[in-house]
Amino acid sequence: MERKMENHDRFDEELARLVRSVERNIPPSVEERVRVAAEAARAFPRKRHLRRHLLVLTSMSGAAVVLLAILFIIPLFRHREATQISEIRTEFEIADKNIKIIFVQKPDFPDLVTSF
Amino acid sequence: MERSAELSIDPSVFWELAGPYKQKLYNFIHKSLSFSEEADDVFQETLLRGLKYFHSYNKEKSFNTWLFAIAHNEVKRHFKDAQRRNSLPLEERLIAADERVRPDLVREVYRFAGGLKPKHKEVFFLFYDSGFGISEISRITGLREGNVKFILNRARQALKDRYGEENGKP
Repeated sequence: MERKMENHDRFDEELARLVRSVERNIPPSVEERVRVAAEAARAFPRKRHLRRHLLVLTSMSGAAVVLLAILFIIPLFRHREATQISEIRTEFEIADKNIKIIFVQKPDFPDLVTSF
Repeated sequence: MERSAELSIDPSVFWELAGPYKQKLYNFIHKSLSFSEEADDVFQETLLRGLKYFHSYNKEKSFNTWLFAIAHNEVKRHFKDAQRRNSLPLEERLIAADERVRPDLVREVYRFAGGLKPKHKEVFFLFYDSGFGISEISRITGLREGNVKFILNRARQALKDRYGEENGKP
């Protein structure tokens, strides 16, 4: 027993004797309870490992789904070059006269080709 | 890595080491918790935690101190609930003391201890009941040695003032 009080004396010895005079024994029911709980705790890590594997598997498949979704969604938002307008056609039709006027505007405007 | 550490720990080694200290541990917890009915739960939790973290125990250090440090943490956890702090009249729950000592003095000492703050009560019982030294109590509770000495001296002086002078001894 390590005693390191500089002023340790008979008073402390008496005090320790008084304090230690009250002692409780561990009831067998408590011993049994601890034993059962310890055995249950020993079984627990196996379940914990199983749960951990499941957790890893679930999170990995979740991550894979998210990755695939990103791969499919990105092209939809990617900037596309607009196709160049090769011509602008404007059509007029006079039904009772059986006349159709078509204006075709080409990139080399102001040359305008008009056909009937 | 954790798995291999768990597998390498033989629980029987823990129980073998804990065996000689269980009774002392049980009394320390009961006295620190003023013989509360919950003390059995704290005792159980202390042993289970010890078993769980046995792989982290440094075998070059004292097992006794390590186990009591776990008990200290469990007692501290118990007292985190402020309502529990003042709920137990310790001296009323005493069981019959050793016949060679005066029961009235025992009752007075336990009444005094019951009025201490939880942390001070732990230090008091670690010293006077469990028989730990100042440096060991410091390691168990995380308090500096100076603080441990201060707590013990104050308790000792208060007891001396209260009972020592009128009785010649406690």
